[in-house]
Amino acid sequence: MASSIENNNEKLTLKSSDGEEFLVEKHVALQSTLLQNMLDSDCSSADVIPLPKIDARTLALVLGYCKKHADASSSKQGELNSFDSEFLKDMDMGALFNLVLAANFMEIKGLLDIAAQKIADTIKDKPHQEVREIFHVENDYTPEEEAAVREENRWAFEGFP
Amino acid sequence: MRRTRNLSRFETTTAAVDPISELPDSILVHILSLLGIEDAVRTQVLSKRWRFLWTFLPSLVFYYYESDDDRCEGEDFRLARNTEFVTFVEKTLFASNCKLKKFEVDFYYGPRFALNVDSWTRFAVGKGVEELDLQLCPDATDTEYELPQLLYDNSWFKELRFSHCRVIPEGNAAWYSLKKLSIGHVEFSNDVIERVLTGSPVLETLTLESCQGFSRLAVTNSCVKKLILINFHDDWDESDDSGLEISAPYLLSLEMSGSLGCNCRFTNISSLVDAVFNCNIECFEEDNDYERIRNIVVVFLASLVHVKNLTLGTWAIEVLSIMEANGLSCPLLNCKCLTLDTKIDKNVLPGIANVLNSTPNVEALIMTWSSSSPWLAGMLLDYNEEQYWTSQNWTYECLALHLKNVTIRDDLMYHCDSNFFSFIQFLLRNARVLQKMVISTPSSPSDAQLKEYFKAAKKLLSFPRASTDAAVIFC
Repeated sequence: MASSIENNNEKLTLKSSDGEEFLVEKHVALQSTLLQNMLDSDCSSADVIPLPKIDARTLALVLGYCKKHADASSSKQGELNSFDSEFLKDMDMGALFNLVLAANFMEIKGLLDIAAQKIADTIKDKPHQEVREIFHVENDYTPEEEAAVREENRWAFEGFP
Repeated sequence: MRRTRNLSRFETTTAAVDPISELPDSILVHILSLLGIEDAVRTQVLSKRWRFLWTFLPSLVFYYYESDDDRCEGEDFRLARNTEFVTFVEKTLFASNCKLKKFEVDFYYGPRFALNVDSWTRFAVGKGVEELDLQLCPDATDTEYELPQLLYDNSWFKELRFSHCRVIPEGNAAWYSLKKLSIGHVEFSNDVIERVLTGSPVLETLTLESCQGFSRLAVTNSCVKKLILINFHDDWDESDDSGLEISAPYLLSLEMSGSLGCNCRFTNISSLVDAVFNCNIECFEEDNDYERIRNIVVVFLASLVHVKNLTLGTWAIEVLSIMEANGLSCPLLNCKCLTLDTKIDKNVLPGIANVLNSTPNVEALIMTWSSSSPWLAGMLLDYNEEQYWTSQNWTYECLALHLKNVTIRDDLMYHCDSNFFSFIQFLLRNARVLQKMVISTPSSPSDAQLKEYFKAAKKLLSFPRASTDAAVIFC
């Protein structure tokens, strides 16, 4: 079995939750710690690795990120940084959540960090009412409960309505 | 086949769904960890799902800086603000529900908070904290915090930073995992620093900023690879010029910046590879003081003869300028990579010539921009800077035989003037084995800056090159 992996080595196939297959170069897949561990422990002898939690649209984005980072040499950090900021620009929140979940599942630290940072930047310095609106968070506190919670940490709410 | 919900599609069809709250705790805590502590704590009011998420933050970092408005208020107001901050730290810290990796607090300390800080450090230590940072700049009173004895015996600490504290350990420190130690504004005796170092057997990096009271620093732990010394002021005693004696036979990297109020001598730094000499030595207002300074600099540089990567700051180069004007050479240095952290102006040109003459093996020259104020204002060198490099027919061994790479970093190009250009022109005309000159492009420049940059780039590219292989690269 090991030899068959080595033969068609440099490629492997990933299958998204909605059944789409992606042929991926091995060095690109290695950006994911999950896939790296699978390859190391030889679990990948199967022809196709199913990723039941990641849809095709998200997986395509993830693999685009991995390819860029796998191909770029370390000397091009500046170029990677500008790629990273372009990569998430104009992405809607739904796609961003899918991406952060995929990066978490596939253990791609760099992607998890930039996606989480983008969400954090959206929360930063905003009053909680606005954060609620942006993310459609349903407020299940009673007004009394909410006031009590606020009162507990008055310092943090200073300057906010 | 079970399909995972596509959240983005959900969002557009049912506005009621709350996808962010459906992310797993670990991701939400990760997101919170990227926020300031106030922002993170405030999310508790979003919904019940968020109520306690922030209590799982592994790093708790608290800063309190007075705003300008605060500063205009009366003393009572400021005391009250400080107390509110302390209450916030206390509540937030004590609500922590997980092992703490890092606890950092930076505020105006007064003795009335001694018991609070005691209880924070005790709590953090009980949570297995690995990184502890206490920046306790004193408020109106002068009484500093005394580190509790329990802090000296802790094998969890990996990084420890504190400033404005009294360090009085009863025995040796026992910091068996400590890798980084950074101490600021602390006065301690030779004996105390020795006990601290003895108790830190795996320490790698030691930073001492604005510390005083000791005259001997013997870093004999073989793990300590890096020493950073920022400002050192001896008690003013002109009769005793013993200064600070440093012995660190295993040290690989030394950085000195700020100002030194006394002499600083190295008895053993034989392993040193990288050295940054970016400090100045305080002068007296006396006529013969230049000679004292010069002697210190010469002895200092001579002890760096074996260093491979050397950085010189504005002040050191200025001293070398005066030496050059007086016909005195810089001690011979064997460095392969030389960094000049200075503005290229009239005060440093002779100093640069002096150092190039004494560094025959330099293969890489790096130029960074430093804004440090001119020290020589009072004793301007008298020469024609416009023609400095063209008027003299020097040959430099490093330019003729070794210099392969020149790097111009940071925003040096924003500050380029005729002195900068004539130096670059001189380099390109004389560096016979130069392979490349790399010039960093500015990050996010304005249109006007970009225009200036292109103009400068065009000029640089027009200079003749002694090495036919030399490439000028903008990246």
